[in-house]
Amino acid sequence: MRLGLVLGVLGKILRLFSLAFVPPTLLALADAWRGFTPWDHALPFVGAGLATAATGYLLSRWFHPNPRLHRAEALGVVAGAWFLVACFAAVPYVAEGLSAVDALFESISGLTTTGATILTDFGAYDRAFFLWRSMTQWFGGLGVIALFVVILPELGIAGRQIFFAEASDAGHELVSPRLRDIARRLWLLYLGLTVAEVLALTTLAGMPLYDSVCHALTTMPAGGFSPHPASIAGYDNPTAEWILVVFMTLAGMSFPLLWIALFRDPRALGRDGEFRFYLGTMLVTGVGAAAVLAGGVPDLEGLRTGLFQTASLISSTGYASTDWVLEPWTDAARTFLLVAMLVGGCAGSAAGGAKAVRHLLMLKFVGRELSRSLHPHGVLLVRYKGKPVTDDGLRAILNVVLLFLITYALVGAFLVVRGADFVTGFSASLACVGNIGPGFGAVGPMANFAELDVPSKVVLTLGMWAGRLELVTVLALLHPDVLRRLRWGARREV
Amino acid sequence: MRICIDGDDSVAFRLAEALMQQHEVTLVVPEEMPDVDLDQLEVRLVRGSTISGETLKEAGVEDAGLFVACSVLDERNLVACAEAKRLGARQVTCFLRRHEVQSSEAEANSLARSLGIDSVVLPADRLAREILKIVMVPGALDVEAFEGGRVRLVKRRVEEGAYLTSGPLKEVGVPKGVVLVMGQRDDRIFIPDGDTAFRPGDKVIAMGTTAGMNRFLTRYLSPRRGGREEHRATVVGGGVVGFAVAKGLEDAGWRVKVIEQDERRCQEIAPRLKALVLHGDGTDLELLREEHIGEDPVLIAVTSNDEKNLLVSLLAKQQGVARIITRADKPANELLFEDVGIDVVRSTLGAAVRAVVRKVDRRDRDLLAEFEHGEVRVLRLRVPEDFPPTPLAELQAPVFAIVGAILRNGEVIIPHGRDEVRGGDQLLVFVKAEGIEEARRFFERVHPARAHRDS
Repeated sequence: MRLGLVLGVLGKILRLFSLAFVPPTLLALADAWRGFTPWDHALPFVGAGLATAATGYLLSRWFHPNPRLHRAEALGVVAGAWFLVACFAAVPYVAEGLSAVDALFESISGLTTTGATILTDFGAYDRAFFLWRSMTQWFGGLGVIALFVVILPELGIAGRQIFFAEASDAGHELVSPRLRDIARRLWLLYLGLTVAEVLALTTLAGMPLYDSVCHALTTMPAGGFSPHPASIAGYDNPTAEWILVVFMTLAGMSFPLLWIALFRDPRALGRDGEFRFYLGTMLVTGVGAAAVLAGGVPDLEGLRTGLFQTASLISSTGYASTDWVLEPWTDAARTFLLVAMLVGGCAGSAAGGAKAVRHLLMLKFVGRELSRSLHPHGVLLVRYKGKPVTDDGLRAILNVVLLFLITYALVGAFLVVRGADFVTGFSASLACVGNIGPGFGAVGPMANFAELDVPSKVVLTLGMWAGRLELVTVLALLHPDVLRRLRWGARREV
Repeated sequence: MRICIDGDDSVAFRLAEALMQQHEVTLVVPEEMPDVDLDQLEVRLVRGSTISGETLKEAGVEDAGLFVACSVLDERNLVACAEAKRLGARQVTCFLRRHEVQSSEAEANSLARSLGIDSVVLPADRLAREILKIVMVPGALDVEAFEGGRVRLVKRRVEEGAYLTSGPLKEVGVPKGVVLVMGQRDDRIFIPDGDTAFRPGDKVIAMGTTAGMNRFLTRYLSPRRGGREEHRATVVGGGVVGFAVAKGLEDAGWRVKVIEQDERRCQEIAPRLKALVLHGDGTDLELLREEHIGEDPVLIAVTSNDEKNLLVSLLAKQQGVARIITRADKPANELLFEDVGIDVVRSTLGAAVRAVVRKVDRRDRDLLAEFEHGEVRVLRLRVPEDFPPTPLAELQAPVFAIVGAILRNGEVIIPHGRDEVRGGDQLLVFVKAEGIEEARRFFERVHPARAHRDS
């Protein structure tokens, strides 16, 4: 791996990302001009923006940003980009007085669209701060879509080549045959949905513009940061909750599928096995949780509560319209939420975890092995969208699922050893590595991760980062074959 | 007519054999073809490659009335046909035997037309369709449809406890719109009359309207409280025919198992079928038991090996499969298999060769279908205008012949004894092969030779 090339590309990415500091700066200046906050509140954003731009400029000048990267280098860029960008995005948090570990936790949680927070006192920060926090998630989602729909399938990593395969040969062109066009169109869709959500929240639900923007920025990337300490529950606005149910469901859907359904053929939704699985699980767990809570047939409010939590958790957004850690929630009802968390959103969205499609294929794989025991001579296939999945593809997919399970277990065990209780430790692990946000026990939706000790926070931070990149991407970089070949590579001739 | 056949195996020989009595046949075979195979044929032989215009000219395609290419190589057949047409053959017919070019005859026909080929024959596709047609009718051993489906004919076994076995026909009767045209007990064929009492195990061929036949099949032939035949089938052999049959059944909602011996072929067909594809030998009794083949009401043995099909069929019969359809490609096997108790035997070549022969042989222009390997046939005969109206019961046919349907002014009448045959009617007549000429004379009251000229 030629580190020079990787750093060069990272420099370019940082230069681009420095622009992200403009909106919070403007908001801070506007608030200061209107006399809400002191002028110096704009300083962290100006400073962080300048630092990011300068570092990016220097890196891309020193090192040759060669776009013809080898496989390992491409992975290095991906993994490095998330981490480096998170470091710079953490600067405003540090300026607000968070410790370095806490700031990085919050920043990584944002950029990986997790939504787990270490903030304890929401009153201590201004509007620009929360806008920035929401924006990190929105940019994270933007990166995830580009990465998972465009870059990783191209590299054939983690079985991704299978998920969007339908597109190219069924006559239903995915979106466009050209990668650049795909990314551009999906980003437009992402932007369009965000704007639509802002409009829906302000006009239909009467939510203030600022809060609507902050929520829209964290819904579409399936992030879950809310400027309100009590999340959505704090607004007590049923209309807003229904709107969010819809947009969270959309956020957990495959964006390429959404594009096809919107602009080509709505029937594609019915044909998509993953979507059916995703929506089915969401509805069943939502209605199930509501029924358990109501002790029978739930009323509309009960349904809304059930569906809101499962839509939030299955799409890995992490908003809460109720504190499910407290009464009247029981372990029986929480189990439905756990199922939603484990199934996860669709590949091609900004949702975290191993994704619904991998779990679906895992179940089909299990089904096939069961029927193999009945029909030892059968030529049995695992089909996805009517086509057989190759054993290579299946292996890659199962590998990702297993890696996630192992990681959930190891990280959870670490937290428990560091003093968390079982429920808190393992649910915090699932919530962070799966990029969901809230968990159960002491890390419920109205609580935060601040109580954990520093090593736990560091492990969770790394977990969010690796989980966001579906683990394989990051772990592959630790392979001896990559580490042995580590060198600087070509420096730019000046 | 001068007919030129290009081929390299039994298909060509059978075709030549079927045509050589009436026509002047030239057979084009490859250089290396051994003489032994050709001894019995009274044809002119030309050796060489048909893709070369030289050989074709030598075979005389320029003034041939028909050129048929039926070698095992589809592409070669296509090229040979196009070339023959270019050289001046009046009609060219192309066999596509491996289906690599097109998978259905309809598709293949449009391709062929664009190449200037008049017609194509896909033997495997024909066989598959023929088998499907039979399998889809519960319990049927043979089926045929005439007049665009308005008249149906079904051969079926009379089951234990069926209403038809409860007495002689004059007491039991048949539903309106149905005629029993033939009965079969053991190997004896007979025309049912009022005194006939059917027994379980007899076979009966009935002809009638769709509604009448449905009544007849469900109320008269099946046991009173018998469940409907389940839509499950085993297909042994996953080749072109097996695949097409499995696909057709599956599309009609059947649950199908396919047993195929070749692993690579298994991998090829499994993704294209919903059916359970089993890699194994159809003659492996262990496998048949393991997969509960005996519980499926239908088994279709269509490997490319006749002997294997026979063995599979016998094993299946022993396992309790009610209906077994077996493919036999060697002509001799068709009769042989029926002798050892296989109910339905079909051959790829039989259907294809018959198709060509029927097209060529204008003497048989009124031949609609054959049963029992040509022993009995269905003819469409036109009654002359001056024929006096006669009730069927009084129409003393001189031979084994029975009127299954009367077509009058576009209407279909399934006749009873009192119905009249009038001048200008068309009759669907069920007749034994040896009585064809007599039946024609009797009903058409004209000499066949004149009919030949008239047409």
